[in-house]
Amino acid sequence: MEKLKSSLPNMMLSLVLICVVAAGALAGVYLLTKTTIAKQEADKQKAAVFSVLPNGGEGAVIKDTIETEKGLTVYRAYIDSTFIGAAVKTKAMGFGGNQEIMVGLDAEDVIVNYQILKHQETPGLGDHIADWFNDSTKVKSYLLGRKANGSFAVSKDGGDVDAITAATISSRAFLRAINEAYLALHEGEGIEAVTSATEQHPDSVASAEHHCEGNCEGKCEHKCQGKCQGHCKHHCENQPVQETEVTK
Amino acid sequence: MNNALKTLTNGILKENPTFALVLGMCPTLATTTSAKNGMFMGLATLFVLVCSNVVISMLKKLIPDKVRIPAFIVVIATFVTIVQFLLKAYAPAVDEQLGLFIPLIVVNCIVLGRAEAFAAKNSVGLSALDGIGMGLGFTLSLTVLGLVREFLGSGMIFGAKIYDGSYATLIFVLAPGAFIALAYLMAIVNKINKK
Repeated sequence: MEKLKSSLPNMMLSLVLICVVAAGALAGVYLLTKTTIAKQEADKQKAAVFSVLPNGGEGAVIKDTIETEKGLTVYRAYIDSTFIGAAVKTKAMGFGGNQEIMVGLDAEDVIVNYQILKHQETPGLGDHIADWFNDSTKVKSYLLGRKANGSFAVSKDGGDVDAITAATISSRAFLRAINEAYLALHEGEGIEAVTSATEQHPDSVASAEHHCEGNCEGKCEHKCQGKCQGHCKHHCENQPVQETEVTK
Repeated sequence: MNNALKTLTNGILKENPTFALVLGMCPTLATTTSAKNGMFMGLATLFVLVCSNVVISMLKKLIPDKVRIPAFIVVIATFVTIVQFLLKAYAPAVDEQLGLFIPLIVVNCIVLGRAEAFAAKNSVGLSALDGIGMGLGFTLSLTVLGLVREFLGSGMIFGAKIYDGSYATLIFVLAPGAFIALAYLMAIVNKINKK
């Protein structure tokens, strides 16, 4: 067969044919992989949510999924009908782009765990956000087990969290994302950052008293920073600080 | 037969796409932060290269000269999108690592370059061999580059820790290190090729 001449009909015909076949092939592959791709994404989302819930979210059911105006997603988890905490998909503009973080707060706003979903920070510097704030050997930057109140800040900005060496902007973004997560979780409760944490409603203290009964044992670092602070303080003062249990 | 063997091995050292032809530098520099990333990027390119070479070689008589570039690009883009679907479905972790660089295979000079320089003039069988050879050469060079950068930059090889990462030279994981490592590797390969 001779090679086709570059006449207008020939060119049109050959391009149209190639495009039609290509589109058909793509549609076929798309249909074949569509369900698997959707499942992979849902699985990933679910795994991320559960990995940051208290106790790995064992036995918990995600009942409410709320999207806030800022584009954050709150997954509230319940065991039976008791609220045990929430995973919040949060984000902030970092050094190289948006950081997307899944952070888990328990019923007392204590940070349980976090997971970086997406980031574009510098490799070797900013990308330490994944292991900087959950490293229990770094006392000044360890966030797990600390009570969120929407006011975390790096020490450079007058806060009490050590920023990642040579990646202050990435660290700031990370903390901003955590703060946003806290605010999103309490959206509509009229809570403003900072002030909310210092004042406790009398009712919540009373319920905490009940809640804390027998709850202090072995959980000093974790629980004592939450509502049980007052109750457990005495109990915990003579206890060595235990490492917070980090769920898989 | 000799011809076929020559076509196959051509891409691996003598006309190595990265070190000898210096094509496709964007993915080469950007995705080789670790050996694994480099390898997967190479394999994705290998798949696209072989498929597009075969199809273009089959269609070479049907494509009029004046519209050959758009026709080639459509074929290449189709295979790249297929790779992306497959990665998303069956290897989401890899897809996440390589991210934007998978779609960018479309504009990788190697793929279009081989289509134009080889597949459009040779038989289907030879074109497939050329695709495999070039793809292997690309995969190999990306893996080696990734290996060097990962070892020097983070103290690991294929994610396995070799020495403490805090003694590693961070620059090799970053962009400047990519150029440095590439330059030295290129010098070595050129030295070998000259003999």
